[in-house]
Amino acid sequence: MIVTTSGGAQLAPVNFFVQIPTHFQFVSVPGAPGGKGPILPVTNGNVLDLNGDIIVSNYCGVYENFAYEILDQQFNPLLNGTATGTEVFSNISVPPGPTPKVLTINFATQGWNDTQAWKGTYPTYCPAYNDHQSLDYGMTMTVGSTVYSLATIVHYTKGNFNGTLNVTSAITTP
Amino acid sequence: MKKLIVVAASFLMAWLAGAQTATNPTEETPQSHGSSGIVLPELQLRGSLSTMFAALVKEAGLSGGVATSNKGCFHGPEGSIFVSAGTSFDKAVAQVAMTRAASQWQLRDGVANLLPGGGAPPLLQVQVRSFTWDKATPVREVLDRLRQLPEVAEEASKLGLREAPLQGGASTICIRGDCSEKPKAETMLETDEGVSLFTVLNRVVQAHRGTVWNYSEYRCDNGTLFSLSVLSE
Repeated sequence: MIVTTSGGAQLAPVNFFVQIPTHFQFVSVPGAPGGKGPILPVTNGNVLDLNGDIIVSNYCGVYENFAYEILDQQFNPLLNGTATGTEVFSNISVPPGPTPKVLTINFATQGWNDTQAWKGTYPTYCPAYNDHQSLDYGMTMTVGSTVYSLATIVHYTKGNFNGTLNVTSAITTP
Repeated sequence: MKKLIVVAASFLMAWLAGAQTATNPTEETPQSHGSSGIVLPELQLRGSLSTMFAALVKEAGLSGGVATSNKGCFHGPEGSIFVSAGTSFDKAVAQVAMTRAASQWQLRDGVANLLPGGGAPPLLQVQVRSFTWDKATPVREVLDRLRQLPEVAEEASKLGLREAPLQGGASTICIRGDCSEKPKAETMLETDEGVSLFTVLNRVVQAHRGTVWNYSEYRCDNGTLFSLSVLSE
């Protein structure tokens, strides 16, 4: 609550709610209803993000696109301001794991697209039988000079499981 | 004893100077540079050496590239650094560089590079015969083509480097408001001939302010892996 005075007279107190980036959740966008795109096995083809841009060409493996938005401490979307997001990967079953990326997100219009893929350039680096990886995915958001570690974690698995190419995701928000 | 302290102090000062001034990682990079003249707001950086560097480069409105040679099969230790308001970009980068022993940095033509103490890793020094790229194409796609150039693949093989699994990546996406497709930028082709991969990478990010390329090597059980990716865009 902030109390202001004008000419010595106290004005009616006003409550301010300060939104803090605290969680994230799947968000529906074209190509990823409910925040999840189709599971796409690829043999000598492209890995495309949800903007339709090529991430990798001559690929061999499997991938899936996910779309996320940031929520505040009351689980409402943040609709104003800009922050720098940094990906956090942990519990990586097959190291070294993905390189964390740094993104500038304008909350008024933007969320982010995470593309989870496994494995490499055709034909040398195709996934072998039962060649797969699991990892936990999180995000920190920096607003000004304050860093917020988002509480949400997504557990991904991806690769070849008993001969089937698959990607799974399980989102946990405490 | 006094003499020993003086010698040690001189060595330390020389080492710090080495960490904070530009070096010559490839034949095409400058010997030195002046101050960037960029002053930063208060910042709290957290993460690996690469992500902290990328955040700084973005904040400074520059482009950049970072190369790391990891002793193990991991991204390297994480840390955090507080940058007080009014700190110069040069000083802040030096602060980041010093979190990992034997890192050096340089700034040229709006592109900042953070490199291992020995300079650009050998694969980044491979000569690219001819590479034509479009400034309007997203950097990730351009880097994917560079990685697959025959001379790069051949050099990687000679150096005993294997490709690290390509695991996708993240990018911002429109989720509300006017998400209609923006008109594509006009094609602007560039051709680089007979220059190092390092130079081409810098030229590509120079055309996309705020973009940082990342080259990493990892010592894993199945050999030395390398990855070439975009750290921020």
